[in-house]
Amino acid sequence: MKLESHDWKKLQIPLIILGGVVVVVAVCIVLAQQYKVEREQALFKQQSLLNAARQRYQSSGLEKEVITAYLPQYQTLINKGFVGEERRIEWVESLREQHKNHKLFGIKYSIKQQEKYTPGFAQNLGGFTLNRSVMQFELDMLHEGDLLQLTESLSKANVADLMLRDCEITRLNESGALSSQLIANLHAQCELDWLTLREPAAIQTAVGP
Amino acid sequence: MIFANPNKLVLCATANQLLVGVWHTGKLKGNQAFENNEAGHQAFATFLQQYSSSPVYLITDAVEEDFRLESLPHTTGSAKHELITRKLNQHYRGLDFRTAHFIDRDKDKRRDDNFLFVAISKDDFLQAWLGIIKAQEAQLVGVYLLPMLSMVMMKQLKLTEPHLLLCERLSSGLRQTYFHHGCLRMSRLVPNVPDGPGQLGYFYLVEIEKTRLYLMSQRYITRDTPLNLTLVSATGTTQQISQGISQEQGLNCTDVNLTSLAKTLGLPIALLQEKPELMHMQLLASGYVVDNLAPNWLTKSFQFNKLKQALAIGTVLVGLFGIVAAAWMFKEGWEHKAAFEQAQQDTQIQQHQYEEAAKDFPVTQISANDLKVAVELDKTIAAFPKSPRLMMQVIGAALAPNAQGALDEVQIDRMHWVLTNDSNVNDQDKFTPLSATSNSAQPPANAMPPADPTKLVEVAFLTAQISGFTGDYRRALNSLNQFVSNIKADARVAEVVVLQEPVNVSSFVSLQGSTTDEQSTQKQPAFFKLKIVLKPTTDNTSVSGGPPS
Repeated sequence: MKLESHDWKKLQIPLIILGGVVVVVAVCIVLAQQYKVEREQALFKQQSLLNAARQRYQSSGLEKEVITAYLPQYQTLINKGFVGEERRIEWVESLREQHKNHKLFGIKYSIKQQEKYTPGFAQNLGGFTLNRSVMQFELDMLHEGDLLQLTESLSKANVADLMLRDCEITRLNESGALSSQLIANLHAQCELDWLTLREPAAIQTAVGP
Repeated sequence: MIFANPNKLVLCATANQLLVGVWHTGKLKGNQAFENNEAGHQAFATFLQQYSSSPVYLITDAVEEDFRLESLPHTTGSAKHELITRKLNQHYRGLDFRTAHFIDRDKDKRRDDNFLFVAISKDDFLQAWLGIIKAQEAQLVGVYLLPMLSMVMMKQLKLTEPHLLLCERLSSGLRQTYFHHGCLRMSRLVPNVPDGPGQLGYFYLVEIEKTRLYLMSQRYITRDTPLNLTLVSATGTTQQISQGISQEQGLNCTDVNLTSLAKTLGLPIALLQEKPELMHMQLLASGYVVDNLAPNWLTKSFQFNKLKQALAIGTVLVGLFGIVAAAWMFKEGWEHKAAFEQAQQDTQIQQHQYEEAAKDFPVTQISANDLKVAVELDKTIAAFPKSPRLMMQVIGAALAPNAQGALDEVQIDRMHWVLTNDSNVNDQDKFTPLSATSNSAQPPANAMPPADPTKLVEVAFLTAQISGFTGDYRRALNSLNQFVSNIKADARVAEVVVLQEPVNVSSFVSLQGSTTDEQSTQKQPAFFKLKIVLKPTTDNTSVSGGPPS
């Protein structure tokens, strides 16, 4: 059947109605689908919140035990500076004290800018951010024990959480014979990571001024 | 508009009149005859106005019919359509009412398609009626030949003779239709049937003989072909004629009574007796639609109406589908919403219960998990070696005098200690000159696969020399090997690699020197370089403690 222009005119209204119905139906379906998906997502989210709340309540006894056990230790970490801001003045003072106590030759040190750090051994940091400041120091030594005394006593001083990462010890006297006089025989150049934890931002805001 | 009109108008046009039957849901509701004159036309026009939306089927029963049997090569689709159109134009050029009725396909040779081409050769008797139908835009479905409906009737009557001549007495005259194995071949209408009972038998006999001769001339049958005659009547009025023909001519002639078929179709016998065409009209109204002869422009109104109807049905279906689909999705969304609200309430209850329980907790802003993470991380860091003490102990132990002797000649010039999770780490030694052929320039052949990144290992690069070296390479190598085997013997050591030997005796590198090296006052130093990897700190049972050697 061949349709003429007057036939198309007659079909105009049914076609417009069909088009309108198609558009209305499409809009209805899209809106209904959108509504369904939104409700579904909200439900899933709420269900996961509910599960988390249930689990939290069920494990509240364990949580209490954990808080009781770990809170004093955590307080100790704050006190020693592992959690919070770096205490560079204290650390420099501690280094000077070690220098003085162990009667070492002069120690040159440098502390670089703090940066975010995600080491392999600390994958789960909870809500914390781990920062590190790369520190370098070099010193002349009478013997290698000077280095051991210095690095171990710095750690024992509990001023900061330090991680000795790299140490290069070189002999100053090529002949190999150690001098009986009080002069440097060895030179050490070391690199440490000063690690600090930053509390979650929400808590910092709540605690802050 | 959406649903089909339950009324059907079936018309039967003869040269003199138009018989109109109105069918409602398959039952004849009424019939009326209109004479083929001005008054009849006007009356029909008035009648048709009542049924403007009803589909109209028009049967023609006239002398002006043509039948041609032809075989065409087997084709399909548009090729078939083109071939048939060409044949129709060839046989019936200028005729409006024509069609090709497919009969069967040959079983041998080219397996051609057999068609019966039919047409109304003169349609003057139809024009007035069609003019009225067209003027009123009535829904003309098609124009059909009465003999084609006779074929339907023959099948309903289960007449299966191979050569059958069906004789029907209609308002328009005596119609004889020849069927070959149930397929229509030709039909012939003889008007002016005599009324006298004595004349009727003779009339039948003469006309049947004429038809038989015609069939023979067309080679549909031969002289010896047993032609079966079937005389059809509403109440068995032709029984006597049938017996007469059988006795006098020796032909196989039977009489068929339409009473039972009429009852089956719900057609009153009295009406059928009066207007025998009503049987054909009833069959068409009952849905036995045969080939349409009408051109497209005549049935366009009906086709167009069907298109509009399809659009309306489509619109309703799309609308219904959309409403159902949207309602279903909305219902699901609503159920999710109800479940969401329930979950929200449950969450609040759980939170409230937790808060009640948490009142006894020590006061802290940090979650229990975070507290644990911080403390455990501090412990992990604290467990790392704070100095190269362990490495120095291992080296010191290897240099100490033992059963194999002392290694006093080994002088350590440099130690580079690294705490790393990569045991394949390289050393950048800027102080000690190493030969160009040293192994350190190449990647170690026995490089270990990258270790667990969560575990740190102590790695040391040791640069040493044989003190007081006099050019005795064998002794120097022995000292080195002794030193390396002492280190390897230590349980805390994971791996020792000799990166450079005092002298490289490998056949793959060049070796140069002087035989007077031993007497030379300027001694070349015998440097060597080792890489020592300790086992991870957690694997070592002993921790740093005692003073270095």
